[in-house]
Amino acid sequence: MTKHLVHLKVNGELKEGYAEPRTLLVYFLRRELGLRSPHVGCDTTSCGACTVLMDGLPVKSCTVFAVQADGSEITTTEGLSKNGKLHPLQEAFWESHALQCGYCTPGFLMASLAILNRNASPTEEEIRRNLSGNLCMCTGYLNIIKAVKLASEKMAKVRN
Amino acid sequence: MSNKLEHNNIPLDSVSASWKWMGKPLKRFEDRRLLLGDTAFVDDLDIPDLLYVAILRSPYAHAKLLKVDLSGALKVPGVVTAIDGDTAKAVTKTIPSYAVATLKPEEYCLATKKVRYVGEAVAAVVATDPAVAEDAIEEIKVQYEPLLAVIDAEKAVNSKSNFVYDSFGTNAVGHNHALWGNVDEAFRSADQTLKERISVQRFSSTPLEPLAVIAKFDRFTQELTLWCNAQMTGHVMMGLSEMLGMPTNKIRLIVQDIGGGFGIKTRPWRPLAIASLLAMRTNGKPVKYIEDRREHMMAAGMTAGGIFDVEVAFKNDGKILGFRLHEINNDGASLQYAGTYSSMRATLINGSYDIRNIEWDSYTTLTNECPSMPNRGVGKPGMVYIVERMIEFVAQRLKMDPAEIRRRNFIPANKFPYATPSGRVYDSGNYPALLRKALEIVEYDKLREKQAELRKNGKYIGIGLATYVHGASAHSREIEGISIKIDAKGNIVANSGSPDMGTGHTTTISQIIAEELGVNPESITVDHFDSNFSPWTPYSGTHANKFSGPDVEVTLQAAKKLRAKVVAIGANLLEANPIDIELEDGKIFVKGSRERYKTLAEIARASYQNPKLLPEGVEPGLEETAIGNTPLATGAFMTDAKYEVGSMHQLVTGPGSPTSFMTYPSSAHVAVVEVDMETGELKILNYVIVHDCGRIINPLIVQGQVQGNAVHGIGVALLEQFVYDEDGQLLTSSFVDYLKPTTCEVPNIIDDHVVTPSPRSSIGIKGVGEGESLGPLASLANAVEDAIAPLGGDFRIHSLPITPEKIYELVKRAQKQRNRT
Ligand code: FES
Ligand code: FES
Repeated sequence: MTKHLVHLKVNGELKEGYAEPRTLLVYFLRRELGLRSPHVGCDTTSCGACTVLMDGLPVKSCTVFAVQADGSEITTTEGLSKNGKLHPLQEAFWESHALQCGYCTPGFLMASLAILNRNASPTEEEIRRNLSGNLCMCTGYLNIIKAVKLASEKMAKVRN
Repeated sequence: MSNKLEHNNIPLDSVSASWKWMGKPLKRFEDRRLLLGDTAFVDDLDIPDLLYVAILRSPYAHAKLLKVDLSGALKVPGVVTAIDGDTAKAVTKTIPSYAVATLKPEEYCLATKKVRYVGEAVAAVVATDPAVAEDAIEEIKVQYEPLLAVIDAEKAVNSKSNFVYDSFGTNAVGHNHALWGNVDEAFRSADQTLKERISVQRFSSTPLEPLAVIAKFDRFTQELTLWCNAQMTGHVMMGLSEMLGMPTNKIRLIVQDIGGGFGIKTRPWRPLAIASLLAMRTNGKPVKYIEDRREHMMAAGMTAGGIFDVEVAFKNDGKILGFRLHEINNDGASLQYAGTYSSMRATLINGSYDIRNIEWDSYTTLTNECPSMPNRGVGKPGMVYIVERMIEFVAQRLKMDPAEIRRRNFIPANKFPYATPSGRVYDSGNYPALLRKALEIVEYDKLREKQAELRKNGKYIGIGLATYVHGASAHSREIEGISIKIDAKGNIVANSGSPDMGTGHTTTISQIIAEELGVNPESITVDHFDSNFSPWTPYSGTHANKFSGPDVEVTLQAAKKLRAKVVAIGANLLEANPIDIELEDGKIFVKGSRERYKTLAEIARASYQNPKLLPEGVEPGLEETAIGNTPLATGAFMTDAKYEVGSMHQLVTGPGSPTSFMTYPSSAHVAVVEVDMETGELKILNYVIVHDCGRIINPLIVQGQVQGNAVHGIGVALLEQFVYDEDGQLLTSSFVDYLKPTTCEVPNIIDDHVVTPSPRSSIGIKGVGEGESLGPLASLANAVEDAIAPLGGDFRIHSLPITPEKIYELVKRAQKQRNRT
């Protein structure tokens, strides 16, 4: 199958690689660009483990073809920390014990970041609604919801 | 209702006063890496020259396999090799059969002669690119001759023809029958009896990461290396060596990050064997197989389904005299695990109640569905469901408060250790206290008043209880290994036979070692499993709620041995009496004089240098391996107890060592729900869990287990079910049809503890990995029936999940009947 050159800005850096027309963005990020954080839990848009930000909006990267993403800006979990210092959202997940096996975590971090980007202090209801496209089989979600609330407090402190 | 997530509800007796690091809600050390995305799941591993595997799977539930033609696939550019069942049969042995020992297994890693369930692996291809491998399996030509699918387990038990395995001559591959106490007498002296049929569906905790394996065969050393997300390292080593006819010292199993397991990943025989066979045909290049979600749902394994007929004899005062239980278990199309769901029920048959007269008649049947695999609690959710529903039915009949009937039947707190009718011995517990505390938290009496009030306004809330015992660790038989090393620089690394799969092993093991050796737990490295370096036993692994048992015991033993050595060397260097030595902050002190110390690094250096400088009788080096369990565990069963859980255990220990659990944690669940009588919609208003897992090493991790477990149980009660049509086609092979709880469905959960330290654990702990997933099946069914009780009549939930449709039907039927009368 013919391959196409795909350019992306991933976590602030320009990257390029070849993709077949049928290659899903998640596999392009993982196999071509060597990122590990977008995970595949279903590859049918159900679990959210592959969630990344594409031009600032959360997408399930198993539902986008790599060629469709050409020219866009992608943020993944790898891009959250700065020089080894965790993002307040990561800290909040840690403190709240919001992960067990960690397989769903990058997807939840990205989906949560999208919530906080839109609304700095979301209600519990809003958090629950906006995370309902992400599955976690380990935690039972309560600590994840708690972590997003905590992150919003932490980020407010940073801003002030 | 707010979710009480703070740790202010930890009772003081959950920790020992002398603990410094254990008992603390430390943030997990493994999390930083996981949060950064620096993960080592199988698909993340950077292994050069990878080739990719795709598996062709059967579209039929039951068919003769007439011909498999690989030639088309082999012509696809990029394809390296392909194999089918005949190759597998020629070079491997059958998949180990775990439970039913009397029948000869016929199942290979790829189907031969017949396919027996939709999704059964038929052939496999290796290619240079995963997409090419997928393309190539479409070019394999297979001739099938469809047969009638065996789907109805009840019919399958008695069928005289159409067998899943023709040579067995039956589909009913297992039968347990037992009479405990005097059941006839119990029924004769009863005031009343009642009979009900209930069932449990087939479900799975569906780990988010599917099965995954990389296999590499070195032609020169003849060593096979496997990177796999397998939970049960020991079984894999023993079983795979048999299947492949390779010595275990030529198989190297490496287990790094596991994206959840829940039992489903204990024994991934087929992916392991298929990848191994292919790796032997690629000139040393490694091959990778990553199951996709659909494959996982079809073929990775699920629970056994169960149909239960219960007949119970009771007095008008609510005292249950005895019961009869007839079961039919549907274990799917394999002997691998068949029978274990059944036999495990004998271990908890009377639940938390003092019921002595029980007849148990349990059949295990095969069908043309996905094989059973262990899943969180195995037969325990079913057993808890049966007993907790039965007691509810009796309360309903007697119009007795469900809390009161439980109090009248509980094993009293002063009766421990308690020998059950089936010969298991419960270690400790206080079931009335659990219930009392749970009722206090929900303000039970007020809630009942409110319920009556609301009913007047056409609002229907229901309260459902479940008060039960679980079991953790199959006593002294399940032994584990760990090695702990203080290296020449004084740094500590531990290596266990049981892998971490999100279960917090890394942090917990570090806390235990830190406690003994007086170091900061964060400074300890807990390495991943590697069979070339990690100690392992046939039971090694993360399963059966066993971390609290042998894993913790051997960690303590190895750490204590090291401590003794450190103290001896330190005392010698400090010229002090060993009994005056204290360990803290990585230093060895003489009691009372903090200036007189040596660092652990200094002790380590001494131990790895001139042996002459060491005290008499102390060998150089600071490494200890402990393999075993605690002798305290053997009190867990009576010598005449019957009903082995899984005959594979006997391969190692010989017969006559029946399964019973080392510790018996217990729980009280209270579910408060609201039912919409118009739509059948169910809302959980409040969910309270009070549990007793003895002492607690890390409260944060324990609470995580409680919540995750409870949500598994809620999913099973309300949403999850594998559905097969009459042809054996799986109708629920994605998360669109197989519904999991999401952030929108989970209720806030209040959890609290009662602590009865286990006398069988050196530190008084009990298991916490399974228990709370058992209760919601019954608590929610009981709550729904309580909510619709005002409609009158005997309208019961007979099957799970409790969907809005089922509630709607029930309400309509009840209303119709009421209008008639
Ligand atoms: S892998 Fe993309 S949604 Fe599940
Ligand atoms: S932590 Fe395991 S799936 Fe979420």
